[in-house]
Amino acid sequence: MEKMWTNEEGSITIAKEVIGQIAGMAAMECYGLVGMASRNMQDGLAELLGQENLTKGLAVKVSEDKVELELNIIVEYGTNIHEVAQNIIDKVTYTLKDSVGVEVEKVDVNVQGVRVGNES
Amino acid sequence: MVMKANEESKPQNQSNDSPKDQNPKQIDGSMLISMLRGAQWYLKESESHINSLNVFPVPDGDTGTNMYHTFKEAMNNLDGKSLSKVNQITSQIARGALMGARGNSGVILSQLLRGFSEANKENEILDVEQLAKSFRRAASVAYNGVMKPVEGTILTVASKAAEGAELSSENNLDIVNTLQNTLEFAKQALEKTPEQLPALKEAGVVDAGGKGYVIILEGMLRGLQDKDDIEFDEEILQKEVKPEKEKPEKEEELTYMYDTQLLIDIEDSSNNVLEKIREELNNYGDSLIVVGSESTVKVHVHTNHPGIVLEYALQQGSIKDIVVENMQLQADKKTEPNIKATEVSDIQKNKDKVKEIKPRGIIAVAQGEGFSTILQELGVDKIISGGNTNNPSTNDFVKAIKEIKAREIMLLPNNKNIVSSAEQAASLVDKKTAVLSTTSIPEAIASLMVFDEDIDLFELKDKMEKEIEDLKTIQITEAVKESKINGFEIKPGDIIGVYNDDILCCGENYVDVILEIFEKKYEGEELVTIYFGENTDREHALNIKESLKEYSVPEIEVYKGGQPIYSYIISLE
Repeated sequence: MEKMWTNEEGSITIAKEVIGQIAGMAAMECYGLVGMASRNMQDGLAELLGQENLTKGLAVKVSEDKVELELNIIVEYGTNIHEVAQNIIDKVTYTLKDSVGVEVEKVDVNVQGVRVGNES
Repeated sequence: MVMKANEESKPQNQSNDSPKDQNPKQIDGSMLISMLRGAQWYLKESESHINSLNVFPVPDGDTGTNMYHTFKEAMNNLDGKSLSKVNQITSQIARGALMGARGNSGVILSQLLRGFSEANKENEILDVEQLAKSFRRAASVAYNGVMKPVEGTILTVASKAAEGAELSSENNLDIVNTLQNTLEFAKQALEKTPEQLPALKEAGVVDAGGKGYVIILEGMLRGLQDKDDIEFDEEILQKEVKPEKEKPEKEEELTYMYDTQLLIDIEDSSNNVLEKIREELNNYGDSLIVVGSESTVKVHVHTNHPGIVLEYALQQGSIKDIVVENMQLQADKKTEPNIKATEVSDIQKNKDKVKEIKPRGIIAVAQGEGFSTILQELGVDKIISGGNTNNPSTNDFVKAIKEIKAREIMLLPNNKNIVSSAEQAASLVDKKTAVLSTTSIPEAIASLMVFDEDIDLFELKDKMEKEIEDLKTIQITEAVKESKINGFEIKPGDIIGVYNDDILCCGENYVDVILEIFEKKYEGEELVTIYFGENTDREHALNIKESLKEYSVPEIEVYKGGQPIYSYIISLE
């Protein structure tokens, strides 16, 4: 279901893919997040997704007047994962409110993997 | 910051007059601790300056505060441990920063420190070569931590700083000169950040995180050089005693004294007007920024002759929003907010009120000049214009909260539709902020009567909310369209009385409607206050007061509210 507003002059609908994409882009700008993980985890392996498949790593649920998000992410080893996740939640909530005008009711961040940076 | 062109990429040479022990070739544990203490102290000093550079309305609070807290946590991890080896110190610092990271910039800083530590796993002392490697490693670890590294941020500054250190190492310089070059390169990279990120350029600032890194490097250098003069112990840090030497900002060599900003409405617009102005003004100062369209141009320049700049601008067209700031004074105060063109007039207006840091600030939403004046007299620091038809956004609140120089903030939304965005804003900012659930301006006025700076913010919130429990607010307005509601048939032009969002009664003239409301709602309250709106006047309001005689209210007060839409807002308490 998409997000919809109606007034006397007409209506606005925003597909949930759009909300997902914007959330994904916002999350990616957060320091510490190095990738999204696929939600299809039958084989138990977190798969690092490229930018074009970004939205596979997140689920969007839209009901009457609230949006719920689930993000599956991979973080860089050695960062404060709790703080990174917190930053992501703040950033995504803020961006969606700011650019789409939707209130995010809930953001679940699942850290599916840790990437150990390349030794130089 | 003023950079001399000939320093661009040439390592500085050792200055001749420095005594020998000031130019060591190696850093041992105690020197490293002095350096880090210096960085912590300088970061604390610069916290509000860095905060003022924030241009993005980011939700993660202020960069300066986040970086300082992260660094402080890192340093606290050294407490109670007597460490003498470089590798022990850096690994404790890295661990402390990891645990204490706050906000995006804090996480990046923790990664920089982790990289620095990783390069020193085996080192008990640091030589120049190792120092250069450490700075490089810090930068590359930091780059690794993000999906799309953005240039023009702290990452760029860290990478350039490492370049400066590497170049010094190749030239076999000593530690002090190496740090000087590292700092110099970092500063140059910082100066270029506005070229890399348009948002910075637009606001006329450099990147805040990058500035933070420069501050840390500069603090490290000062900590090393001044270590015999200054004891960087906790007590001194808390008292924020400045060292006897020059003030930090003065080191930035203020060649040009006046920060000059203005807008020009161009008279004869030609294609390359921006280019032309840029070329001309370049002769009068530095940090020149000329942006805009063919018709309106924003100019920002640091100059010693603001008059000439203004004269030149006048030749181009009419000018407005002129700001000339003495940067020397600014540098001394160091707490001036970053002023954006559009906000200049607002900030100027409020400047007198917000200058001093006070323990507690109050922000209220109101419409109508009468109400604004009343609220300001009651101690409200900032009025956000808004109400029924014009709900302020979360961002408006966040901006206002940041603008007010107070440690704690009380928000009075004064409308039930605005409460949620006020609460949202409160959750986004770093300052301790309480939102009072006021749904009308009389509630705000009543609650402000018990405002108190001495009790806990949230206790105060409860106390203020208690004060408005028994307050009744009645709003009187004219109907604009036909409607049927609550069993009333309302015609356009009818006078309606609204209580708690319900239409209580309707009629053809104000006096009748108000009397009817009193019949239903007046329960012997001691004080009735009538605020008249912009579409009515005091005389009429006094008539109404007269007509209320029969209720023998102990006290009836009449004030100008100046609000739109509602001809009268009446409170009973």
